[in-house]
Amino acid sequence: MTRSPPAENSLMGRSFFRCDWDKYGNMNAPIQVERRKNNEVDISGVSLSSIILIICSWAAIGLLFFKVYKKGEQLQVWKAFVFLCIGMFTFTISLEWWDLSFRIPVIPLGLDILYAFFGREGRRESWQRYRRFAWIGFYSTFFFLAAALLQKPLDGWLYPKDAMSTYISDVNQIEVIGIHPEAKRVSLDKESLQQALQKADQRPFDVEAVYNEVFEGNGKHERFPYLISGAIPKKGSGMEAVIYIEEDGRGILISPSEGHQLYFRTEETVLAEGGNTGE
Amino acid sequence: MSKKALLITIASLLVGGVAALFFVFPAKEEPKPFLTKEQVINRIGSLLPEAKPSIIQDVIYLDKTHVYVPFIGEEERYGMSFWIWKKDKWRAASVDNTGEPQAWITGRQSFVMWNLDPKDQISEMRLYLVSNRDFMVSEKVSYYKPRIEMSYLIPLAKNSYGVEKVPDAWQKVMKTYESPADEGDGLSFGNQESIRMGQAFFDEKGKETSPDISYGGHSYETGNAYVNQRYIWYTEQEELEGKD
Repeated sequence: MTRSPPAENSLMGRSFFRCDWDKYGNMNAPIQVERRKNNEVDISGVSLSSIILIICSWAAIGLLFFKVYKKGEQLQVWKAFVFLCIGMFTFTISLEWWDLSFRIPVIPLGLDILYAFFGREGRRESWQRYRRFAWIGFYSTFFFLAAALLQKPLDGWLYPKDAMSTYISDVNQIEVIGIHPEAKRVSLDKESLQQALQKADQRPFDVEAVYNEVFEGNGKHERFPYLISGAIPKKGSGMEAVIYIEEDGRGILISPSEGHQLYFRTEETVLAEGGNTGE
Repeated sequence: MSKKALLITIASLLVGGVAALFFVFPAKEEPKPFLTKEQVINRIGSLLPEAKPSIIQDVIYLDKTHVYVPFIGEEERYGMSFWIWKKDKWRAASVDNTGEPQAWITGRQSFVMWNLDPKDQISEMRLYLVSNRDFMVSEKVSYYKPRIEMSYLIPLAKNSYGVEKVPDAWQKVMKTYESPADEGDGLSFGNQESIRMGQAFFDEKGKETSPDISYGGHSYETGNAYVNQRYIWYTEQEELEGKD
């Protein structure tokens, strides 16, 4: 029997009394102050692929802008820029498709406004000279749309979800820790793990079956008694994962922050005898 | 720009830059020496009258800005007080007139502190780091979460009180579980309910026992508790998969 869990809302800065309670938690459960760990901004989750695509989009816009500017005669940059920006203003419809959300430009509001303003008699000339920039602005929204659509496939190509090496970029930084009384004293065989990153094959893994298997054994046995500490995913992938190693050293269980767990088997064990599992 | 103007500009930028650094990295003063025993007694007495110490047992520095002071109070209750150097003053982070073990995270390290009444006759303590076995299956996500059960033996000295650093391996395990990896919908390993610390007590014959006298009492926690506290659950041997 354990005590009932502490209350979620902590009472910071207020005095409180714990009434007399026994070890089983009868009477009021004690309330403990619990602060979240410092909320650091974590940019490792920003994916490289979105950065690449956004840069490409802006480069394309810049290129078009430059081409049209060159073609024209005595055009003023700032005016062209203003037309560009207003042209980007559009009415969009937000759509969600599977787990992607993006916006499709439907009505070129910016263009309409500019045309209404400049289309009249006295300003026709300005319109003729600068209207192409407004169109570039409108087209740019389609560039961003394409970027949004391409992001997932690019991500999948750069950082394959099913490859172990996505989750473990550097074998030298990690160590193995025994997390269950059944864990033996072992250390990580780095070369073997490095090999495994390429050669291990993925196997299907039925989480419920594994869980029940343990239960049928009276719940005293743990199939994955080793935890990997310090694994860093490939830079820019944002694919953090919690990784376990099977008792025989030949199974690697990867739990990514999103998606399904992955299970790999290798021929050679990645564990070496001896060394501290840090009990 | 003339040469002179350029030089002046560079010079003023340098000076400005250095001055700015002083704002960004203010010189950290060394904490003043800790309070005297009389001061501690008075402070505790004003915060928690029933705990007013008659004997200060020790003053233990966990690091430069965190101090643990175990004491014996009225009715011979063994108590604990934790102090933190914050904004130029030593402040009481919490005071208890019970001595059951508590875990504090001082930013870099985690410590377990206790002050057990000798009448409880506890010979040794075990700390545990535990997380339940679990699994989940859904359309987007599936996982099996192995059981974590790590134990650490703390033999008790002749003193009623003590401090022990939480093992490094445990800190690494907790860090792995509480990484950004659990921001997603997949795993929610990181919360307190998922991975928790436990404790168990044994008498000199090695039999499971519990410090009933030490439990039960009053506590006062001030708003200066800038230190993370981690609750330690009482753990029964039959819950565990390993044999101690």
